[in-house]
Amino acid sequence: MPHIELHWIDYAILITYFAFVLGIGFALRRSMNSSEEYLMSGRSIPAWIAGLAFLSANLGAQEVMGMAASGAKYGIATSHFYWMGAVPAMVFVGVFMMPFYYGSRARSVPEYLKLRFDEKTRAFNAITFAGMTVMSSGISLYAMGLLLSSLLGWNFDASIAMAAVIVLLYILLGGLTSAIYNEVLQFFLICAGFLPLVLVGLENVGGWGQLMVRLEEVARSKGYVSGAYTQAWAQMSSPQANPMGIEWFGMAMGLGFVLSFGYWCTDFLVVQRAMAADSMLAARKTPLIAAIPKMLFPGLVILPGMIAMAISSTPDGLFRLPVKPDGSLNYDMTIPLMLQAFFPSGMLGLGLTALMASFMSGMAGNVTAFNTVWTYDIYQAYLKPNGTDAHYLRVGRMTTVFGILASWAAAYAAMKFNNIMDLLQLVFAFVNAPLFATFLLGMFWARTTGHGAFWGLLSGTVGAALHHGLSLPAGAVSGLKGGWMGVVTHYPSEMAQNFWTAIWAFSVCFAVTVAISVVTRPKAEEELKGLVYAYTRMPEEPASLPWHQRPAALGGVILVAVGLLNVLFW
Amino acid sequence: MDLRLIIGRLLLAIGLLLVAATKLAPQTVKTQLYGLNLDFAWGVLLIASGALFLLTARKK
Repeated sequence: MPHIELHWIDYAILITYFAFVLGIGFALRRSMNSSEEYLMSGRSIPAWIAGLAFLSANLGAQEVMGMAASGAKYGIATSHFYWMGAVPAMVFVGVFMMPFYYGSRARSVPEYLKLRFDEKTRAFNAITFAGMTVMSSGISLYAMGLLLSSLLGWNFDASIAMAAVIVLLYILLGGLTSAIYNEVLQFFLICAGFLPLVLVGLENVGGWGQLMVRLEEVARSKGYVSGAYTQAWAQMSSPQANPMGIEWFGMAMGLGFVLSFGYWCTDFLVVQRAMAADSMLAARKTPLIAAIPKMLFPGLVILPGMIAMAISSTPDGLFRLPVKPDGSLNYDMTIPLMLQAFFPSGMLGLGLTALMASFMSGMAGNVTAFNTVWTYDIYQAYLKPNGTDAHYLRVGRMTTVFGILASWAAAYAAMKFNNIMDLLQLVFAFVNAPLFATFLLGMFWARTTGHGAFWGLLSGTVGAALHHGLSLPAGAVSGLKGGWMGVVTHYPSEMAQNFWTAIWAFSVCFAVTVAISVVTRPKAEEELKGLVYAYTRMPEEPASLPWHQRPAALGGVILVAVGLLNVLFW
Repeated sequence: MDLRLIIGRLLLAIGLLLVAATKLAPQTVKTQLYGLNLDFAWGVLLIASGALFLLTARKK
């Protein structure tokens, strides 16, 4: 793919965005006077800002480019990652779980685990989470350097150095608030940069009707029935009937329940945004506000991939997806190709700025979650328990510098190990899936004990490793993709294997936690107030509050709306 | 700090730059969206959105 040539106007848009990003950091620096203000935004963020940040923290460029790539590869079924793999879990965390997170006054997810269970469960979660965030942030940096060098011909080292320094400056100056504000800017930039791409793409392909016709032809040419790329559920009866290679149960249980709830309900990276809200009601509304644009986002990030596939598969199409050395299509280049094909100077600058904003926000989200967990759950908990608040504020700032440097190093590690991204996805499945079982039991079954939670978590992770080591997706060789202990079962796709790994991890953790909890001593009722459903009064809203301000009513409407979307694109 | 002010100013600035970009390139298929100049049309839309954010921020 030839390099894209930028004009001064494109650079001007990029520089304008950077000026705003840094300006936010400088404007906020004087209000960062305590560790709570720096690491938790002083719990002062309004619901709409926290909501958009909650959404954007998960909207890194890898996600944006990855979803477009999946849209091109799997078609409309990719929207399951939103309509089933995100929105229901976001409603659940807002309506049922946020009262415990916010009401317990815990400063982080690991700290909640300490209050609910014990120190060892907190330590396990804090250490694995800190490691994951640094790796994830480094991979975000690496992916950005790779994109800029391959797309624009920029120097790889200079690209990642520039992004790392900008992120460092705005977090160092303005802490979590600065990261949250920039995530909101990123949300608007993505909408402003990608919506015209969809409109121009649809115009080029001849409109929605023509897009469907072309994708039906693509499906038939690949040996599927016509609706394989244009129907979300109708072809889920068996793994062979759809390009994802997964059947409805694996999809609903693996993605829709375990992975989705495991991520949205327990990952501190997103939960931290809701915990920074200015009231209990705002914290509960945060994921619900995020769920509204989330259910519409397939139109912005998946549809471009479907358009690219339709264009690329016609003989006189404007472009073709590039081919990898192994002969398969390089779907990851979907968005860059479309930017190059459809955007003139000016719009090109806006599109690239939106992508860079996503990369940097993805990195900033990880670094802010890392510095909070490191400062409160590792440093204060185990290294220096009785320091002054000024000391922890200094540690928080120093941890930010360390987090950026570690991410920088992780970016170069990712360059050396080309499978590190797959490995990270696997680690997420190993860690988040069992953690959801721990939270589900911990919050809704008072009998759950600290020993049960800890050994359940460990067993769930081991269960995931065993399943992965004994299974292999089609076309893969034994190793990082699985089967490293011997192949007992084959899956039609890597995605199917991931979903079932998560199901196993969740089930093993659930069973072991229950088994150990019934033979060990639970905490007294007094100690569980505000932490467990049975011993906590759910917050009551004033009778005068309109329905759209009430979490349960708003959540119900969102679930109906997402249900309708599923039916509409069945 | 009212974030709506920042969002409004950013959208306004990018919108103005896009309108300026209209002068950069000759009219080609690549610059058209339903017969409109893409940079110009989107620039005007961003200016209008930015102004809306600034207006709501000032009301408070």
